[in-house]
Amino acid sequence: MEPPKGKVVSRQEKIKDILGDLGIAGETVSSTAARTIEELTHLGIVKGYSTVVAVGDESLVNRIITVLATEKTAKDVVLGIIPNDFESALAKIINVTDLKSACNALKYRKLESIDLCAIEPNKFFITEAVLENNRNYGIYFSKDNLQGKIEADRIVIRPGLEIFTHDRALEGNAPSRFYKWLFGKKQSDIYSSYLTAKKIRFEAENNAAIPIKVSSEIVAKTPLTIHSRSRVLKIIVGRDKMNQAS
Amino acid sequence: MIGDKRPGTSGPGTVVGANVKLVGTLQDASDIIVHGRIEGEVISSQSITVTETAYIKGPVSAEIVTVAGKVNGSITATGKLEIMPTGKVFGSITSKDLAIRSGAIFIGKSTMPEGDKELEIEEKTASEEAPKKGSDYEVE
Repeated sequence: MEPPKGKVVSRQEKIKDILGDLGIAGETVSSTAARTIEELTHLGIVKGYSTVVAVGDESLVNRIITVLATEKTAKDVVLGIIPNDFESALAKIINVTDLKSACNALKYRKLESIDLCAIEPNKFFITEAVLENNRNYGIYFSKDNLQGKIEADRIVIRPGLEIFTHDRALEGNAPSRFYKWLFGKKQSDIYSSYLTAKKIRFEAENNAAIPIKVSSEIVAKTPLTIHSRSRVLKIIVGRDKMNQAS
Repeated sequence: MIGDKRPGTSGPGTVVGANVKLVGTLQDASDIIVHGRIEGEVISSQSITVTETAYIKGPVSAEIVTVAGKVNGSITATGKLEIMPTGKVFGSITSKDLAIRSGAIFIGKSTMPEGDKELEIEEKTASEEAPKKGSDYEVE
């Protein structure tokens, strides 16, 4: 769990109550100055826990999955998640809509193996990473037998190493966009790109250091390499997730 | 937000935007749509669409190939090849189902595999193409 402060304490108590009612018991730990999230996760693995439940935001979850994905002895450890924000991409991945459904998901323990991406050396993420600049920038990339250059201000990378880019500057300035909208001159989107890779390296033009953010937190800067690891982590998902997928 | 939906595709595949330049081999088992510039080979098990803004310098190979942009290289379509009115192809093409629309530019050699035999038509002047009995060309 995240370090308790004010409102968080009452939320943690509420979660404990709901889990208690559902008959779920376990050790509850929070990070402190003396013990980081990574250390606490490592301790849980050493103690032989089969499930680690992360209660917090995506940043906390990413720190935990980085430990679970890199420690060999954590191969069979399952991750449960109780997100802070039930509108977030994280909540959508595990298909929970509120605190009760998140706790219920832990009870029914429906497992799904998911892909993760890692920004080398070892920054794993579960939803998406965004390579972002305040203006268009030339980004060189290389994957497999392919090198390329993208002019973009935003590149989104998702697990499975799906890469989305879009260059807003090529759509024209605001008046021309308004003109197109006003007269219904719809054009097909030729400025977006979608690529997949197993491993990709990004370098910015002029060796600039463009930040890559995961859940709004800068985790690295270009040049950087991202690789995909498929079905590397088992997570607990809501009961309806499979039905929705089919 | 960018990436909320996959742009311009009905399923997994590759889309090369107009702002992208690629060098090397682009290979995908799914559809490939090219709006940008590629120098190298483009291979798909399904379809390749070269849109008006695209330029490919290198061989193109897929089941279905549609060219509305410019291709400077050979094209092999195991299914259908269509060159749209805005399309420009400079290179040899191989397809058993070929459509060249009015206004398209094609300079090169066309080969149409048909079963075990191949019907090969080289670009010739109209006088050279006058049909003669016992010609080398055989159409089934």
